[in-house]
Amino acid sequence: MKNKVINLIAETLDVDKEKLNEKTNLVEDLDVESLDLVDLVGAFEEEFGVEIQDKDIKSLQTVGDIIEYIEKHQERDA
Amino acid sequence: MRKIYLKKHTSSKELLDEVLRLNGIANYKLRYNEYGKPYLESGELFFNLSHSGEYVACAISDKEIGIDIQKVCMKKHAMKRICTPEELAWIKTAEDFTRVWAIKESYAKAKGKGIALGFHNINALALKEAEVWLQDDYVVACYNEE
Repeated sequence: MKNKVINLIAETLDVDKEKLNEKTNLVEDLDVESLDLVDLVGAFEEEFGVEIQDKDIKSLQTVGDIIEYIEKHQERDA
Repeated sequence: MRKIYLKKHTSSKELLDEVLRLNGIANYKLRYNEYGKPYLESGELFFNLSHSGEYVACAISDKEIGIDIQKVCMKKHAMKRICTPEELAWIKTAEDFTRVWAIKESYAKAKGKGIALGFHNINALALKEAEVWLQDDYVVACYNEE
């Protein structure tokens, strides 16, 4: 799961995946803006078949937050 | 009252300091609403900030205001996620998509909720109160509460 998330972030944001780990902060470390974040969320929804609520997007601040969210919602939605 | 400032190669904080100083506010304290939108504790005026690439934008008003500046781009995953069927039919170019995004973002920021508002519920094409224009290869959109 972690590698899939990191690969998708690297591909969508066009960043080097070697620079990503669970503590990477999307805004502070990758300078992600709102549109990038929404695009990333859309990519995750398509890849993992989960629905990410708009009200939850702001809470996805690190790569670790994303992994945790997807794992939790994949189990629930299954 | 509404004023908009755009500046390159500066930070959001520096532009806000400069704009407030120009408008007679030398010292100020910021607070944040439950969605993270900053506002002046004094309530003297409303402001909003946005940045993209080399630009920072600041809008001030005597009413709630939202501004978004976005470098023209096409983001396919975001487009599928946030656009209504009417908007999808209307969008032909990256500039069209960026306009739709910037209008929604400025509206959602004026409402104080940002992304949490749910962009697929907003019809950008019907938001006639939003002012939209091109600045170099960036779209700027500004929405004011009436």
